[in-house]
Amino acid sequence: MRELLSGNYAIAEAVRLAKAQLIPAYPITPQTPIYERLSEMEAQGILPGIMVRVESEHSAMAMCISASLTGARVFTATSSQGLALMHEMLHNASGNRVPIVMGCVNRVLAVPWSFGSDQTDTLAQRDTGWMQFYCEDNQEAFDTVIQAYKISEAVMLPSMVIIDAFFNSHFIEPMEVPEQAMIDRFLPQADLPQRFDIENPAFVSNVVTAGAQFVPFRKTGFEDMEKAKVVIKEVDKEFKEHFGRGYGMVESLHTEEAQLVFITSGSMTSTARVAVDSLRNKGLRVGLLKIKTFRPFPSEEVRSALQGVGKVAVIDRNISLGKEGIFCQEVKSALYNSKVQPPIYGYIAGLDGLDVTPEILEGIAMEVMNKEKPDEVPVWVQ
Amino acid sequence: MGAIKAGVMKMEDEKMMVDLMRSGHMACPGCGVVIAMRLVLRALGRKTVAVLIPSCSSIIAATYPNSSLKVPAFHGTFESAAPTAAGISYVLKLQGKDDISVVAFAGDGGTFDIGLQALSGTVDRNEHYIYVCLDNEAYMNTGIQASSATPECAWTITTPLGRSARKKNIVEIMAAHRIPYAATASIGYPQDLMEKVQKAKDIRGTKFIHVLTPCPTGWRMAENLTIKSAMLSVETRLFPLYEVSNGRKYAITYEPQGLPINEYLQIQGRYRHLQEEQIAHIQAQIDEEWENLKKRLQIHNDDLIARES
Amino acid sequence: MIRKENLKLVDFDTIIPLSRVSTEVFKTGQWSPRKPLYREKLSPCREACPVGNDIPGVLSCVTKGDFDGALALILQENPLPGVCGRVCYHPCQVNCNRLHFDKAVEVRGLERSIADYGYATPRMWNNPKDNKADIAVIGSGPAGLSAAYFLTLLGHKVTMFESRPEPGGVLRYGIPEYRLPKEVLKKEINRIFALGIHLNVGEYVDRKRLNDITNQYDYVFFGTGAWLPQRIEIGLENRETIRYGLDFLSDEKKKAVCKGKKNVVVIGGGDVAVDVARTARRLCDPDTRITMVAPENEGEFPAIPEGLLEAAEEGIHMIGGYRPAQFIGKEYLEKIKFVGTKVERDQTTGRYKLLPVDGKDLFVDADLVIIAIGQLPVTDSFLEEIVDKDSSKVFVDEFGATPMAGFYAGGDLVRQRPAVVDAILSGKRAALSIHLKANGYEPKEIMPALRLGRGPSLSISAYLEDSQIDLTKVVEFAELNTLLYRKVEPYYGIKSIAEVRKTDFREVNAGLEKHAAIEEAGRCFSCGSCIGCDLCFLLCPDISIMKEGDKTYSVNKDYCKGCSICATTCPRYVIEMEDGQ
Repeated sequence: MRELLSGNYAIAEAVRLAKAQLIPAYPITPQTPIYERLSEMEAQGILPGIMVRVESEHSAMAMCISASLTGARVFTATSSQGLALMHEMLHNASGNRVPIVMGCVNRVLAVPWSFGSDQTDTLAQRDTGWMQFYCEDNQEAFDTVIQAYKISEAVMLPSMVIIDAFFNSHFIEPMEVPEQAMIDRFLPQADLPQRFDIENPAFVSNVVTAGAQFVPFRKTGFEDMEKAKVVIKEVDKEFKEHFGRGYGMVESLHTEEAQLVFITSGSMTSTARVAVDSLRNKGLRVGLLKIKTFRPFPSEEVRSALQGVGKVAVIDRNISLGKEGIFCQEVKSALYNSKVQPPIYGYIAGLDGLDVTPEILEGIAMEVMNKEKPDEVPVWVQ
Repeated sequence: MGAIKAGVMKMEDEKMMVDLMRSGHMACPGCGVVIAMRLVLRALGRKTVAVLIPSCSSIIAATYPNSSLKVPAFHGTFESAAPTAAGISYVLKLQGKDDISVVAFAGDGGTFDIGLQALSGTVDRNEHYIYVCLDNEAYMNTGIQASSATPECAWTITTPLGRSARKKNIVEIMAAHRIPYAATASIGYPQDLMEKVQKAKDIRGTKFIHVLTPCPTGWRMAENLTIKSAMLSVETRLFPLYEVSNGRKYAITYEPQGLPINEYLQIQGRYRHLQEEQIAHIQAQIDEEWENLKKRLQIHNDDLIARES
Repeated sequence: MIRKENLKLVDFDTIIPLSRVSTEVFKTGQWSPRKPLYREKLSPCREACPVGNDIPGVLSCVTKGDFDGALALILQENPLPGVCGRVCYHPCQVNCNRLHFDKAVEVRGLERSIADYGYATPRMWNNPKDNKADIAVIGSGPAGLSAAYFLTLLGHKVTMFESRPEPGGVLRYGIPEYRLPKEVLKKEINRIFALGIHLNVGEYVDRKRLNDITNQYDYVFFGTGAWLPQRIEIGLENRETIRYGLDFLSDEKKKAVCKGKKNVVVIGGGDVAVDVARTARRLCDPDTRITMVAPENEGEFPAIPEGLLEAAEEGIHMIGGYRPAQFIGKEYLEKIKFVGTKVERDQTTGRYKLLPVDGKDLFVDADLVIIAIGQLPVTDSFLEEIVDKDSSKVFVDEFGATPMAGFYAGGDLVRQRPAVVDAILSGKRAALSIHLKANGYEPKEIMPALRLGRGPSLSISAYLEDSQIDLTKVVEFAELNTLLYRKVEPYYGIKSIAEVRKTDFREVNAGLEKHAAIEEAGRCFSCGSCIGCDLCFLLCPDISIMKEGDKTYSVNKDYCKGCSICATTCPRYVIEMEDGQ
């Protein structure tokens, strides 16, 4: 069914259709409409799950973890400060191997205090063992929530479905919302291990002594995250078969023999498509590589897409002080030991929701083409 | 006001109770925490899921691959005993397993300090489980550092001259939330403790039980005095045994003798440095708190009378 | 891969720590060699009790309302609880550990309650392999009744000889009804004779009769008591107005003796003197003056304190520190001259002598004097070898045997405290002695081990049941944990008021009501005896104390860390810590 939904509402709708059973959540701009919409659905009696209005994001995640271990499908959503507050529990969730799906709305992290879109909040959590999916638009956000449950429940690792503050979260788009029955066929009821079994009791996740006991668990997590790459592609393929839409871990557009490839993620990708078309009309062989799955990092797909490419410009809507944009770092490290070695130019643009227009991207393309070598540090777009 | 029949403690249901803890755990000899855990689990029965957090109790419950518990349990984070237990409780209900009790064991650090926010939140939401605070009056698992449950004047490694602040009254904080049921309990009075746990089990919502668990290691006390010190804590009125329902209805469940506080203080090395004035000061505080408790009891009784007339 | 819905890519059981291995693999018992030892010990009350009643065990039954069980337990050591519960001088209470806490437990009153409310048949202990002897018991006072009782329980055949018309001895003919009603005595005595003891009454055993008996029976026990009053002959000798204690009490015509008397003086400060005074109070006119005069100081009369208190309540006057010097009167007694005196008691022999105190003469009007300064046995029938000429008492060793083989003795006949409970002890001791001898054992090899602490008595049940209790270690107050007890007033029996009771012989003390008895029994600390309170079991941090039964616990040494909480917390000092291997 065609509907007009904001990114937040799209996520809420997907959570409803996915039949999440327990939803502990805490409000934070710009995530609040997700939380409010779910509460409204609960009040209307159309939400199959239970909302729990917790007193902090840290408690929200704690509750998600134990509820998931007990055997329920759970959901929560947050942003920025809330996500940072959860940090300890994010490690805890992936260590506990629970298939939590969390909606994250990228918002700048204080200080300075502000509310615009900025990916530093989720990217700062890249080492916590969560899968991360950056969505370009509201349809993709909806679709990714549904896929994320299937992926997470197969590999038993949690995942974040990430959208941009305001550009996705609050902007309304027309989109396709499948019927419940179709969703159920693709995503059946959760069949999770029920860890607290009276008949066969165990002390779950207790302290392990010495490195020798710890390492195998962490290594298994690493290996299962590698398996996730295959699972993500399989699920996406299956989703396409059911619903006619697929996204892959990356999307490459006009990258074969391109002189320049933009690498973007999130809502900026839509803008980049316009810039790519414009540049191509002007005669420049420009391509676009959209990175959707950030964790596990699609190194193989990135190398494959950039094979034979002249130059790469990574546009990061985030920054890691002391180094550079985070997508840029990850792309460089994916290429380092390979034969694919285009020069990579890093750009920092759009922090705190500063608008990245097609003109800005075209300007970046011109600059990159004219620069012989990338700088040591990224270029900050004004 | 039911007083325990002095000297003879028998529970009617005692024959039905089984131990849900195992020997072989690593608690210090004479540990008060493990006695409390054992009694709580006896009272709850095998259909119980326990939540543990970093504290002596989680080490007592043992490290991988061992467990000293015969019930399923989960090791959560330090400040999250409350939401962790609540999460399990919600899902058990969804699964139709509402006959399984959930109990959260937290130390005084995880309750009075780092866990206080979450505890307040959980009670506000009246989530359905029993929260048991095992209070040995300091961060003992990490080596005797002061918490806000450490009493005034008590020595700890981080308050070598004695703590200057008074111990928080956690049960009154719970009462102020109008929690359905909050109570103090002591391992020196096992029947009273187990009865309170069983009473809590049958109440819908969040229940809080504050157990003072003497610690020979941290209190610098001979390891055989754990129970005696627990009894003295009650009989000196330092730790009166009472319960409060819905923040209003108070009942004293054991009438203490009112022994002088020095009998309790003098057996503990952490109070060895006390001067006469300090002891008198502590005694005065106890007397005042006891009067306050009786006043709250009176308010409730007056309410009852007013309602009846 | 994912198309197969149930395909699991990860192994749920290995991705997170799931700990199920029991900690019981860690034998924490190795942390310390100290381990608890459960060993029941002697309570001071039991040590002091001449018949060695298992007082903690008995009171434990009462706390549960089990008067029948309590009585059954008492009957193992004492055949006359209803009597002792009314007349005993209760050394148990004097030694009760609870004295150091608040007040002694009212053990005597509880013994009485148990006899009143309980029903039980004494348990026969006879072992078919034991030898059965034929035994003659001469005298059916408390000593004789006790000997007959225990001998019968041990499987022997007993025949009793009593010179008076009815059995009971001093219980019937010496102790007044207001202290020991005849119905109570009847019930107590019937319980003994119901075991199958043959009784010959009205038969005085003289030298010749004794000879026959000696030939006819395997063993003989003498319990003939001491009925010959010690005389004071100082001037007037008028039998009507100068009487003697036990004679007076057993005289059927004692009311006539008292008729018209206005000033009755009783010489003596012991229980007989008190009974005489109080009997006279009841038989004389209300305005008759009754005075007891004894050589001891007032407040130190040797009679049981309760008796002295009740006598004072009944208006009996007491004068201490005097002894009679002269009975003055023309034909009948008119007054008595007393001189000051001081009592000096030899601590080792118990004998006392009176020393004069000059300058303290006292004249007291008296138209009747009853002298109750002690009694001596009549020993004409006995062979000279066994009689001590100085005291007129029969010699016995510590096992109740006289110097002549086959002859045993007890009660007031021998040198011992002239009290009912001591008489019962002597009969029990002799019975066990005879039983051992009859089965080829030497009493001196077995009986010393049965002694209760440093006390006078022995425990027959310890011998028969080989119980685990340590009879040598007596629990002191400092060894108890009294934190769970609080100071309360004892429950006292109901006593009728003096004004009413001093006119008749109805029992003065009505005893405790059942619920009061149960409460009072609850004040017993049960020193040294486990009551199954379960504190040790419940409070062991290492779950190393196992419950095997109601009052039986065992220690799991594999896990016990030797913290000693059990030993320290046990309210009654049943557990001690010892260093094992």
